[in-house]
Amino acid sequence: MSDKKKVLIIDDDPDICESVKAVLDANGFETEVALSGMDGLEAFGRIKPDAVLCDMMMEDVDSGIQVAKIMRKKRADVPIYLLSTIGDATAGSLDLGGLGFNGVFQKPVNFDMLLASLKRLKK
Amino acid sequence: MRTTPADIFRRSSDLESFRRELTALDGEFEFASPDMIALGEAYFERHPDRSVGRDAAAVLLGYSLVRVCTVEKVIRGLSPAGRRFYRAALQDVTRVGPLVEERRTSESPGELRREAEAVAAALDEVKRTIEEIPKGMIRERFIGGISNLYNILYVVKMQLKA
Repeated sequence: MSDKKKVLIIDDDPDICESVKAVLDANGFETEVALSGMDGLEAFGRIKPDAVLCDMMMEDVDSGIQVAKIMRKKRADVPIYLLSTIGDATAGSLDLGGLGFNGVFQKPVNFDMLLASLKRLKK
Repeated sequence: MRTTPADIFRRSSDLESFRRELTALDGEFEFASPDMIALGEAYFERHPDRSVGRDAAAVLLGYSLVRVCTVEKVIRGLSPAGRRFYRAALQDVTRVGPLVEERRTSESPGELRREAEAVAAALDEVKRTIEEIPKGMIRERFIGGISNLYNILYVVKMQLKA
């Protein structure tokens, strides 16, 4: 069994999924990508990730919130981070915890910060 | 005559014709925030957004338009070989590794690093211009569009350090 931490990336932009995956894979993570909220939920149950990175706007403008709520009900312990274009000020006005997220990474993603957060997670 | 991405988009039938015409300008087009907004307005006229059941292909087209324009702006100061490299690499992250290896055969590590820093600085400049766009869906497409360029540039820098 792999000792690598598993990260699920959910984003409807395949280019973003592939580039985030390239960075995480090169830094020792095992990654799975999903291009929709529905596919993300399927992968969440199948691979049991150690962390999830989820875009906000996919099929619907609030798909990320819907997906996070469902994942949170299934597993309260898994860290779920929002990948967002909404900006710090807007994110600051949201109750991210109440929406099921542990935090937000604004796009363009600061990978030094993201990798540091993911490396702190327990396997 | 002042050429804008919005004008090119309005007369382009698809992404490839937009890319062809814009790339032929070699970065010599207007891309201040009013030009970005004009491109966004032209795009949303053709592909109106909706909050539920969004058209994924139209959303991705929006990101692609932004990426085509941004790449042409950020590579303007590079050598012809550098422009070819970044046009290809910033379009497809899976090509970065082989492309970096290929360039290493003809350029010094120092030159490749300087080139990457120049692209990063130019990308930051485009981002600052995008931040002048009022909050809304046009700005969302631009931020979503440039995000992947930042991601790929991070991968390029990782490869250069390896």
